[in-house]
Amino acid sequence: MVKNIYIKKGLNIPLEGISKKKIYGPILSNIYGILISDFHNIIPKMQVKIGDQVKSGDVLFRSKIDNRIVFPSPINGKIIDITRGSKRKILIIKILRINNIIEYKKYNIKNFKDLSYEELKNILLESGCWIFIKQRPYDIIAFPDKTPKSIFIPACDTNPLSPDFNFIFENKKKELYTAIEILKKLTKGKIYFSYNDKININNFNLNNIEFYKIYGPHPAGNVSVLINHVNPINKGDVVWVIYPQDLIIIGEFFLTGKWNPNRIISIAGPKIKNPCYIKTRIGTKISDLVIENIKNGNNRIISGNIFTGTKVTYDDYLRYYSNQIIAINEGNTSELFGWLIPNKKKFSVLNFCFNLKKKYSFNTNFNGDQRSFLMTGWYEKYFPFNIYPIYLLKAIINKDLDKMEKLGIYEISPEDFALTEYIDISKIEHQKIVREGLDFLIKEVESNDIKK
Amino acid sequence: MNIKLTLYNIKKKCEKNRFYPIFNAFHTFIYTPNTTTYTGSHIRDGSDMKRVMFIVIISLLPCLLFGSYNIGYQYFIQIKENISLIKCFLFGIKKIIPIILVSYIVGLTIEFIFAIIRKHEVSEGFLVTGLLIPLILPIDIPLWMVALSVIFSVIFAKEAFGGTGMNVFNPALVARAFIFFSYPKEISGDKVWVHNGNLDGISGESIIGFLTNAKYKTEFAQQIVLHNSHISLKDIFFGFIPGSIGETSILAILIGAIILIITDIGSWKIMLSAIIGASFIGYIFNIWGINALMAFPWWKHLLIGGFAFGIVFMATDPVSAAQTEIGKYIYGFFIGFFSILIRIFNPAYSEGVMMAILLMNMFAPTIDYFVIQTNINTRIKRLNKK
Repeated sequence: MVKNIYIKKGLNIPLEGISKKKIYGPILSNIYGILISDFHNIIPKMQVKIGDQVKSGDVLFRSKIDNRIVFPSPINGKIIDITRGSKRKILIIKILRINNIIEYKKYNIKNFKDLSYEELKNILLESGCWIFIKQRPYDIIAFPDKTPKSIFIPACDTNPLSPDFNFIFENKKKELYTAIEILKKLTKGKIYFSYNDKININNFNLNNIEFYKIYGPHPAGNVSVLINHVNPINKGDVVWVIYPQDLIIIGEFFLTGKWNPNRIISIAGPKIKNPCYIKTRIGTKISDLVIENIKNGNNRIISGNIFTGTKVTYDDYLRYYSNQIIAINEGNTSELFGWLIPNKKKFSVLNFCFNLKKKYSFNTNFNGDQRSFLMTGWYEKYFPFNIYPIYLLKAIINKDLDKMEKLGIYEISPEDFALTEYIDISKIEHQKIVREGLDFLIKEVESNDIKK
Repeated sequence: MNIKLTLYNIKKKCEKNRFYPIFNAFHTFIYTPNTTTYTGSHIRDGSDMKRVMFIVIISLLPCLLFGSYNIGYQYFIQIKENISLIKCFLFGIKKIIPIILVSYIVGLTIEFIFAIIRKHEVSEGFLVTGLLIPLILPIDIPLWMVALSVIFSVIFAKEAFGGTGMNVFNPALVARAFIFFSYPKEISGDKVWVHNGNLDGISGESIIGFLTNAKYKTEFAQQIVLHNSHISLKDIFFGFIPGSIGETSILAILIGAIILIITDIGSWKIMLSAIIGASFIGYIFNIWGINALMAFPWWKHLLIGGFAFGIVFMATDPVSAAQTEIGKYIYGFFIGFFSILIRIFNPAYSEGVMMAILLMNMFAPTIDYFVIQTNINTRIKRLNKK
């Protein structure tokens, strides 16, 4: 049975350059890269060294805190570089692809329907599929020893220029169904699947799943909104979140025994000549994906969506969890009396610039300097939770653990504050503050449990 | 192009200089900064604090322009000279500009000094406060008094708490309160609201001043009604009455209110609930009606005595008002309530709006505390149910 969720608070950013529904590829690079910073709260313990040969699925490193969580290689090849930063912190692992044929680490998986919860969990951990299972609270890779009260699959992405999941799922339904059957065994609670107009749910053959159709502007598609409406998180609860493209990778692994981290990503944005979809692999070099498709000028390339993505250069690699690449203008120019003159090219929620155009090509200018919190009532208009955002942010800045818990920090993640960060005229870094708050909470609340 | 580059190079050189905040304040006034996003969201809204403050200044302009005209109008009517639009307007502008200049120069100097001492950037908060302070002062106020009140307000009502965004009280009202308590003769009574208002003339009195002077005997009640009728509703609405520089014209205030509401800078919730609060207590007083002040029609209270100006421009200051949406309703209601209560029960504080707003500024954090507490309790209940 399908239920509806109507969200009124939010804003759809009118960014131009949506991808046309055409898939190119598959595109393979010569060099692949895995960046450790993609995995929050993970300190790597290397299992390979420079010169080693690896297959797709071989373990590159493990988590130091929990050895069971492994991070597999996306491609077969030779480890050519392990870049370290200050204090020998590992930054990137680079793999040179040797053959044109992809070689996989071999797994023999019995019929997963016969496997118990513990056996399934062990396979997920050993194969590296576990890194796609994120948990709430904290928005990190799930702790293996905690069972979730429910599992959420957000197939509804309301971020600007987000990929169309219906288009991506077309030939991957079998893998999706397999993965969802596995998920059913991993929790005693329900599995919730959210979608929007872009997906035709009648084409899906899934039983015993709670379907929710989401209506409303961004951030209606954020999984926190779904969790908040359906089964809010209290202190001590754990829920899991798995994104659809990651589910397809897990499903394919259980069907074929091969670790095949393929993604169909959308290349979009105002500085892309031909916005389209590309079939590729995690860790592909950015230049192989976009260099021929970018307009001239001072550009910023973002791996991920425009609110939570990471800035990358041509020498960087497609980030582990990214579903899209966006290219926009760098805005490192000053304007004479820019704050005084209403500018038709600028979009603002303040109805002063007379937003007449339908779509805008944004740039990365801050459009102001950082100030203290001033406007009140604005953030709540773009924050569809039963939480007071500014009070929560102030509690985090003050490191007031008790207040943070009372005000609902377990229910949100940094991406939920992306829109409030966008509209903030005080130009304060909301997402960074929330991330630091969640890390502080992990350290204070969870560290004792983990050491056990 | 050269000027841009030169300024940018100077900025880079003096980044570690003590006076960098002042240079940066002027530089960012002329050129928007060219910093790009480096954390979190890659795009940011086209507006910043300067633009918001600029919109508030635009919304204050009708009051300022009309106020300038009104100063000349009241003066020339009093001395029974011919009136013309330009003559009145120029007279008023000549009187107002020194006050505005003193307010901005003194205030910004204090802000710059604090920015240098505390090594942070100059915030744009004073762009609005600097214009609000002159608009709520009487026309003949000595400039040294303006300067003193601005110094007091910026230091004790703003910087002592941490600067813009941290203040508990509305700085413009604190400036006016300072003059009210330290130099009461200059700001109260019925003659100060017209230039050189020591000349005889009934029209030199403010309406509240007139009412408070009347003796509360029933045989006078009739007279008050008769006397009141010489000040027509049209005069009150357009603002051709004596009062502080910017607060007489309901029409000008309405235009400002519409600008603030459309851009969502001024909360309509505070304005509406203040009107409801004032109407509520005004109506109760009308029913009670034991003296002439109580008998004053409840709806007329909303139009005179700086009430409209106070609730549109002062009560809606986002920093000193209640910050939760439910809290704003309660905050606004009590501002209206106490404004009229103070007016009726304590006629010496004829402009009760100022006192009511300062009182509610003090209680705004308490109101918010209880609103947040209900949110926290819902969460605790949900946890206990589990």
